[in-house]
Amino acid sequence: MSIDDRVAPPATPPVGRPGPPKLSDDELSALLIRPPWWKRRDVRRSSLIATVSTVVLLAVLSIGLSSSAGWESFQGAFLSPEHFVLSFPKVWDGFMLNVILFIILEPIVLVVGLGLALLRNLSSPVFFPLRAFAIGYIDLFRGLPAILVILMLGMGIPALRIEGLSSSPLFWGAVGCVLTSAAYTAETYRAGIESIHPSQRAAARALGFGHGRTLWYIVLPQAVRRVVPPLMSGFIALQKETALISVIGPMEASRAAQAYSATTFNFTSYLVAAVLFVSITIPLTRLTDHLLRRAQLRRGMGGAV
Amino acid sequence: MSGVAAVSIRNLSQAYGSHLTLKNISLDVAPHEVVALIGPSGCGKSTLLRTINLLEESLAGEILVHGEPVSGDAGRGGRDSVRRRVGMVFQQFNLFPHLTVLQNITLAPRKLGKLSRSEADAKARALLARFGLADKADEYPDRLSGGQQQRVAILRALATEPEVILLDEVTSALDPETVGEVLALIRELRELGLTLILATHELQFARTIADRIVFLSAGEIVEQGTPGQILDTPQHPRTRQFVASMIHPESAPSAIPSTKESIG
Ligand SMILES: Nc1ncnc2c1ncn2[C@@H]1O[C@H](COP(=O)(O)OP(=O)(O)OP(=O)(O)O)[C@@H](O)[C@H]1O
Ligand SMILES: [Mg+2]
Repeated sequence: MSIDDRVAPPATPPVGRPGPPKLSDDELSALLIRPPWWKRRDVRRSSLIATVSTVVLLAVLSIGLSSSAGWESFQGAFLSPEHFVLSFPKVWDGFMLNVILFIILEPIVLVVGLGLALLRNLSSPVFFPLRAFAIGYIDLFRGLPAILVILMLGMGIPALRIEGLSSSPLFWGAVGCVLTSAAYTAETYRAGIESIHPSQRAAARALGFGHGRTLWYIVLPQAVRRVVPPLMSGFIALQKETALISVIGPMEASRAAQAYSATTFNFTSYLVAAVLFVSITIPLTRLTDHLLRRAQLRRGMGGAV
Repeated sequence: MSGVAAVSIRNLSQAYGSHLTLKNISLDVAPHEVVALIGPSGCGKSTLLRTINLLEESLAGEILVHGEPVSGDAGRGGRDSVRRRVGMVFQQFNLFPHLTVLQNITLAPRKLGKLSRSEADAKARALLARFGLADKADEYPDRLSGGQQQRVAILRALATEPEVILLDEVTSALDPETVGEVLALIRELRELGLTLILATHELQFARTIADRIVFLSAGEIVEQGTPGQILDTPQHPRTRQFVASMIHPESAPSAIPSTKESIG
């Protein structure tokens, strides 16, 4: 039996059924230009459905809530427009402290975290003590609740009254934030470093690069790019953690909100603080998602190891 | 062979854990010589090349590059300087994906060869132009075809001006239609007078490019000689079997249990 016998005869289209027409180049390029989303019927249809269902759900929820027995007093205590306006300046001032802390601490966390990850990555037995220190540090600070670290440092160290050491609770609270976040960040970097295929190291070593330069020129640049999205999640976590410093006194946003409610017996100031935090963290989250999607796309396209 | 061997291997043994992969390999490669390593999958070709380049630890034996011992206790600095004299090209190219083609080629000359950026760039662009890749200089590796990537990987090794280049099955990850361009580049390396040791499954290519073919089986050199001797009149039964199976895969004697062989 020859090979040709096994090949199926050329298929003929079923009679009586005109297939789709052959398109000219112009028709094809017209198809390529997608109309903007608000002009596309399918998109408009699905956004209409989404809007209607959202409105219905919100209506049901608000009717349900406002018909509850405690609604009136709840509204007064938590959603008072008057108190919102009155407390806003104080909470805003406090929030500036959160923002400043975040802006100062984040770069420090990124550098300390990288340092820890590099120490942890040392392979030579000479460096065993450093490696052991990094591992112990990371385990310890990932295992401790951040609020405990902040309390212990912020209360403990100023109480020691050591010459030359800052006695500011704010300073030591900030140090506590850095110590905790850096431990998580170090693990993020490490995951990135370990995700780089060993063949990349082999190629660098074969070119004559030693351990250190292989890490610096080949491994780290790729590793850091891969962990940008999780690092961004760390940013968001740190932004929220700055609120924990309130437990040792400094007037940041949540503390300012608490102070306001303590004198006025109205809790709308908490809503103000919440709105301020969310106005930073939600855009950061969206940005993170966007970066993540882009990184995935890129990885999908470039399979090179 | 006149003078000092470019690479001299003496009773080299290697193991991954307790799995012996090379047994007492001895091999001298003269300057400008092209040696092809052939043998069944798993016989240790890659391991031998990686061990020569000190990417794997050896168990025993020594390796000399131009008469200088490099194996065993040549300290860290020693190893890195050996690697600078011995280039290596991998089956999977291993280009650096975060660097452009030009940066891939210039990284080692700039950081290790102490060329200035402009000198290194100029040399790299000249190399790329010479081998028909001038327009790819600023692309990232993942925008290149497999054949182009492998040619860039070869140029990257060449740019460090090594005396010896080790090539590990550099065409086996390629589509058949791009194999030719890479093989042509390897021929050019030969014309440049480089010493080449290449592991390959392409016996016809080995015949045309190699001065000598070395047949490895289960971690040992079984037979070596000119391409004619090994491919046309092999002496050892295992060589005969292997060559026959490669030339007529469908009529291979069933005595070969599987394509993967290992040291017992
Ligand atoms: N990293 C490793 N760890 C453990 N064993 C390995 C490793 N790399 C290779 N081996 C084993 O060492 C032996 C030799 O492998 P090697 O890759 O050198 O063979 P090869 O001749 O290059 O084969 P191929 O033609 O398939 O590339 C094989 O038995 C293989 O399973
Ligand atoms: Mg191999």
